[in-house]
Amino acid sequence: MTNEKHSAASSEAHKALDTIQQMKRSAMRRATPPRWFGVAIALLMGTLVTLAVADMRQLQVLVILGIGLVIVYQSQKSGVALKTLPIKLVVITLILLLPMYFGTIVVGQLMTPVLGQTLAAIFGGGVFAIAVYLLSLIERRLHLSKSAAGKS
Amino acid sequence: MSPPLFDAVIHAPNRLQICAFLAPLQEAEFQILRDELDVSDSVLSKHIKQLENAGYVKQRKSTVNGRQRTWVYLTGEGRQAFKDHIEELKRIVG
Repeated sequence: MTNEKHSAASSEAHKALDTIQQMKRSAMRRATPPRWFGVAIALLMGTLVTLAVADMRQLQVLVILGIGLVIVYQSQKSGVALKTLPIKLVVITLILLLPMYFGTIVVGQLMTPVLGQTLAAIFGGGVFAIAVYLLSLIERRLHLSKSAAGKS
Repeated sequence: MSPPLFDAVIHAPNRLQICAFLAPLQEAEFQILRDELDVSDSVLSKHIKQLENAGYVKQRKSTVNGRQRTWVYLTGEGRQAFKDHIEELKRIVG
């Protein structure tokens, strides 16, 4: 009888743990930003570089405002907010994005005598936008595979 | 062998789902929780109230475009209780 009770408790506990993992995965899936979000952020970040190369820095504040609005809209739309910003995201931003941001501005400025200011600005912004979008895809894939494996 | 030490407030199926969903999040909107649990507003409200009475969750109201939205989040006490509950479940499973 005691063994039966223990077995029943163990089975119930197992079921409860499965439910917990399933709900955690659902929460992580809900918190994963959609593809349009990556595209929008990439385009806006690319625009920041384009404006910097085109020497129109006074307009950058509008783009930064746009980035803020997109982030707020996405968080309101998804209906969930992650507990903490993943440390990996912070590391990627600091190690890859910042040098890349300044790097594409410098490359864009170096290309100005060859391509002309407008094309060089678009080139710099385009390269940075593609890089940001690719990073967002990698981050999204990692996020989804983690939640699928239940390592939330 | 010691008897299972379930946290009765958390262990009820719907409340367990609520806590598990909120655990990796900072907060979640009431409607999202309702859709995930596939329950009615009143059932979800009842369970949230019970968790709130135990001090495990709190609610926050915000207005977006004139529409009121309710956000639910686990308190520090709730996170600890949920963590302890999982440990207990793992101990039982062995």
